[in-house]
Amino acid sequence: MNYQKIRAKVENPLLTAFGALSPAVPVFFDNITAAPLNSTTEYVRVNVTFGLTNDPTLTSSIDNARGAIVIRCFSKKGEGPARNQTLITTAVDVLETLNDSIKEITGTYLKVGSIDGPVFSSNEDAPLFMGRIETSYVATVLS
Amino acid sequence: MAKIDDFEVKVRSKIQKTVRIVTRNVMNDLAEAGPVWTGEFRDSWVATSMGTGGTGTGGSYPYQLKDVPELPITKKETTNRKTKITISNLAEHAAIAMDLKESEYEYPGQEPEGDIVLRGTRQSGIRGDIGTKEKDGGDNRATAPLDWLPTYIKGGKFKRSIARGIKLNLPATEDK
Repeated sequence: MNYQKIRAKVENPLLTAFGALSPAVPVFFDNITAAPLNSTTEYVRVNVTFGLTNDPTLTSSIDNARGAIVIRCFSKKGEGPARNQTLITTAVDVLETLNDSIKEITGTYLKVGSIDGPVFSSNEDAPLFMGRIETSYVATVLS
Repeated sequence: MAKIDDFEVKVRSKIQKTVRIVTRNVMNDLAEAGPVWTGEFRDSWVATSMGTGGTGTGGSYPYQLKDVPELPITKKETTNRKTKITISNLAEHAAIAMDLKESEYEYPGQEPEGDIVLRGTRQSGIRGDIGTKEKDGGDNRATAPLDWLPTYIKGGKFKRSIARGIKLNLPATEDK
């Protein structure tokens, strides 16, 4: 099992998509310090987690991993949900595109499940407005 | 006919008990996967019967079968009702513990009961969003990884617990 390949399959297109926005939005992943503390600048936090690996399935391949993808978009507070929804839409588009991929002989094949959210929240003390989506995934590393 | 009725009642009773066993297993899984500082969140999982609205004895971790409500064994409740039990957490700060909501954090005056799995500087108001220790940053700690709940539910462990409970409790089918 190659966890790094699975992570890359999700993280790379997200990084590209948010980088293509104008202005580009920084994306932070696990074990990378996110925006400066109490940042008031928008950013995205992506968390790819791993659940069970090699759980037997109905298919012949058992070299698979399951897990969750949680994406949090932080945008300016007090300016309505529009910008946050733009960021969320960018993330959802990437997840949907992942499902369009075809299973090849080599590479990493990943499918995501239904997407929960977005759920928006903002507490009194938080400097930014937060939108959150989450989904499940099943990935198979074919080479 | 009486024998068939008895058999039906036994099967329904077995089904409902299986549901209760699975529920108890999941409650213990959630308690073990989630954060444990004072233990309040870990001990606040509650199962509620969708048919009667009843709850169990309101126990704490490790949860036992008596902490899950008895379920009616009528045909309607056994075969027609799809969702038989809901599991919820009654702790006031449950949404924060589940990483769904941001918050402010203060040292509660006591060390955590659970193991520390993250230590460093908090990156946002999300409980488990702790990065490496920054210069002049706080020395924050967490007793469960970020997004432990979706990882449990969507990562396969939830389904495995359900399957395990059914395997444990279904009657043997081999001829003797």
